[in-house]
Amino acid sequence: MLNNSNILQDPLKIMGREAAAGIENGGFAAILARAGVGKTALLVQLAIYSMLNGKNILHISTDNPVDKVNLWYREVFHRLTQTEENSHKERLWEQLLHRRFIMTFETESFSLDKLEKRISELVASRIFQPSQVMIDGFLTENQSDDRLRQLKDFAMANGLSLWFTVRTHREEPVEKTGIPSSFTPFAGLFDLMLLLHPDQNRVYLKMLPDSEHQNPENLSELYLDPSTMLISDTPV
Amino acid sequence: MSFKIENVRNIGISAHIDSGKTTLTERILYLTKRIHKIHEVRGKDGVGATMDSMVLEKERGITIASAATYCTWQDREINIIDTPGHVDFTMEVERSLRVLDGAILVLCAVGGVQSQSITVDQQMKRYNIPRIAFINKCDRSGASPFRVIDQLREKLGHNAVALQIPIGLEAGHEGMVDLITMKALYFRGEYGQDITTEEIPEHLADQAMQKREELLEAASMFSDDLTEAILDEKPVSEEMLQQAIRTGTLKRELTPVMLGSAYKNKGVQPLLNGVIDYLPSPVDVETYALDVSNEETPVILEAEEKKPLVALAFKLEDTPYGQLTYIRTYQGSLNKGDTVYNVRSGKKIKIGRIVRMHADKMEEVTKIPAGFIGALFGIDCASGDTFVEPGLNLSMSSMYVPDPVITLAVKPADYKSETNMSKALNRFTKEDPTFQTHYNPETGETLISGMGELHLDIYLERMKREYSVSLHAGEPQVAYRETITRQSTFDYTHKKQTGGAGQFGRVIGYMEPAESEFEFENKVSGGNIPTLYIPACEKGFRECIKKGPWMKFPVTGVRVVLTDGSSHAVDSSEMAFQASARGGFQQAYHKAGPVLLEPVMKVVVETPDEYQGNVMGSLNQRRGVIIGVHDEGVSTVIEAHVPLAEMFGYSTVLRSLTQGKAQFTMEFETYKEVPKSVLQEIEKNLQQSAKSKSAAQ
Repeated sequence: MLNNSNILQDPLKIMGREAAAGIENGGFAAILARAGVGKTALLVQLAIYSMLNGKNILHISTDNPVDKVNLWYREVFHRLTQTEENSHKERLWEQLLHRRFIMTFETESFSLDKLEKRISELVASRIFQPSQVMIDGFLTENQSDDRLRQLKDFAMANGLSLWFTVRTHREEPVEKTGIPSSFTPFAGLFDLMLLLHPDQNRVYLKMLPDSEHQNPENLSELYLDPSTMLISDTPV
Repeated sequence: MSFKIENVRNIGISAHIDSGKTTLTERILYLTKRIHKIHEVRGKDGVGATMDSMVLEKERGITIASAATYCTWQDREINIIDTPGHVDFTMEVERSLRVLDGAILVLCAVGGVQSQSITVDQQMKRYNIPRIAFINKCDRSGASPFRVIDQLREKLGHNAVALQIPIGLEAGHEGMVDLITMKALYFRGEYGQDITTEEIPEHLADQAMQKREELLEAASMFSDDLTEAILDEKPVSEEMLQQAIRTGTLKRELTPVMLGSAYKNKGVQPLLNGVIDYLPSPVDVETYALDVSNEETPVILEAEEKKPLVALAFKLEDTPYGQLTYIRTYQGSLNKGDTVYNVRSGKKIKIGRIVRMHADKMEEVTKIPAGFIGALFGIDCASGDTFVEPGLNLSMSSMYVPDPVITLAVKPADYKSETNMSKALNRFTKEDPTFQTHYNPETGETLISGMGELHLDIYLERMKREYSVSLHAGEPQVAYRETITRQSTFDYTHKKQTGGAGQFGRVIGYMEPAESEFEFENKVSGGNIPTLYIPACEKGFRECIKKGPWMKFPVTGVRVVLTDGSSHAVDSSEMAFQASARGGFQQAYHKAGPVLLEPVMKVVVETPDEYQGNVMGSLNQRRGVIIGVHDEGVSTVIEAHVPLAEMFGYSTVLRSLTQGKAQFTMEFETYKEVPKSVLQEIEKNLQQSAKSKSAAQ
């Protein structure tokens, strides 16, 4: 295992849910939030924890170039390991690089067909064997339920779990369960849904479905620290 | 000649290989009546293109891509400053960027924003250079200028806005609609020199209106008058709109986009107008120098003739009349007969002949005032030197020069070549501080070092061509480094008692990893080592880092702390303490976990989709870590970090893997530890070469 320091604990475990164990082969997870709340920061953070636990991460982005995605990882990694000794940090980072593969697309040229093709090519040519795919900037609007089901089969066959970030809209209605209505048709396909919910000066991290959503007192105790965008459970 | 600073434009033309920079420059020189016949550029392929333009220059006897070519358009002066395209010449690129006030970013209408455009654009961003974009090759099949504009926004983060829309694309490309005058422009005559202005073709009227709206909206951010006119639905005058665009461009918040096809002679004159209308004159930009006597803090300069002189020598050129030094004056005025001070060398220089370069002739002048570019004869200096009025201590460029990462041994074939080679090397090192030469007395070889394989290749080629040197070049060698990974202590006594005066010195302390190359700290108290011998100790330690005790490579990142020691009233000497420090260093070094570091390059390959698997495989094989892949629809850009040692001859490999359809760029990224398996290989090679050398002797 890469992670030989105890500061890098998977924060989702604290939520009483082992994120990694929860979604295995063919599993889908989603991070839902409005624009600018911190979806990418959270996604990258979770990716780093997974890498530290020995998983190979394929990061897909449709709106950021490779350099920028790499910078996200560096930044988040740097913040996570602030207390670590420099040389150890460097070595850890080097090891992580081998566990990560970034693939970016022009928004207009991205399609699930293409994604499946690219993953198959990567695996077939033995260049990279991902076990978890992080898809940043996924548009639900143009997708059908059936197509996603096919993707799930593909993931299952290839031993992949998939994470998506999904942008929601400020005005859109929210179901009782806390799921934004635009996402409702797909909710059944997902094993884990995390909602980033900005409230005053904090961004709460809560798990859906959650019928208690309307009641702020019952919100989960986890939130993103606004200065670092890291998951935190201590008050600001 | 006039010296009106507002009428000057010092610009660069930057472009990706093969997007038509040479052709565009030719057309500009033709239209500004600098040259009188157009020759086409043919048969370009990657690396060949650079050479191509050099040969072209030679054959034509003019300097198309000379350091600075002066031409006039609409009674304004335009200095076109050459910006070397390849990232291997980082120093050179950065230096010429300092000289520019604005730039034309040439993009291919088919290829769009490619990897090298990104690198060059980032460099320009760093120097705050306002740009206008020219989308070239609208006549080629697959041309899609609006896609390129989107890429400018997405990939380069420009607030790009079209000033024109094309009339027809690909084979049907006829001209363009100017969205400012709302007229159609057509280019007639053999070289498109006759422009006819007509009404906008009907089928484009709607698109033109829509794009003009976009332009107005973008431009209105920079002009209250314009915003008011739009809100009140008053007519918007050309001047008002142009002024707003100019303001936005100078603030680097707007990038006007023009288009055409240089090869088909379309759109070049409007582009020249754009240079005049939207790019800054020297007074519009803020330039600064570094105060050498105050830790290189930036000092703002004023393009004012009465102020004390600050000028930069940015390029040297050998001419039949001697060395020509290209100069840009930033502040004050450089006059014939002045005595100026070279900040780097500390020498005083008297200014003799001053000239201004045209494409095919030069004009003698008496001064170069602030903002202007000229050239000096008979000045001994290196490029990048700053000249100032005696008393000032400002430098235009940082004194920091990155260390070369690759070394090659060269041996001249005969006596004539030997003298020519030393002439050539002398010049190259003056021109380019990242190119270094070094004579190894042990092997009798001359070593040349630089920033990459191509960097050295070009100099080898230039030696052959320009200096007719025939030489044997060895295999390129990577510049390895050694460093330590943990703290370790030393306690070493140097003692000799063999007749005559004895030698005695004892040093105690520790060494540890450090950020900088070498640090030394003296913590000896109570005079156990007399203060007078401390410099000798430091010198002893410093000697060791030149050639590491382990694998004989330079050592970096070491901090030595001297804590204690002892001396002898009679036998201690500087020499004894130097020897003792060397002994101490070696003692501690082997315990400090020494590791070997190798330069790792950032490699960016741009390849057609179908070859991406092959290319990634080839990078993997070379111990590369693939950082990511960017899918652009038809082509794919792969970014990887690969050790330099594995990259030799990669251009050939890449060519054969992709039928010559892929290109790559490479620049230094960082030093990284060499893996154990590779380390053994290097050790073996070193031993072998040592053996063969001793056998030869």
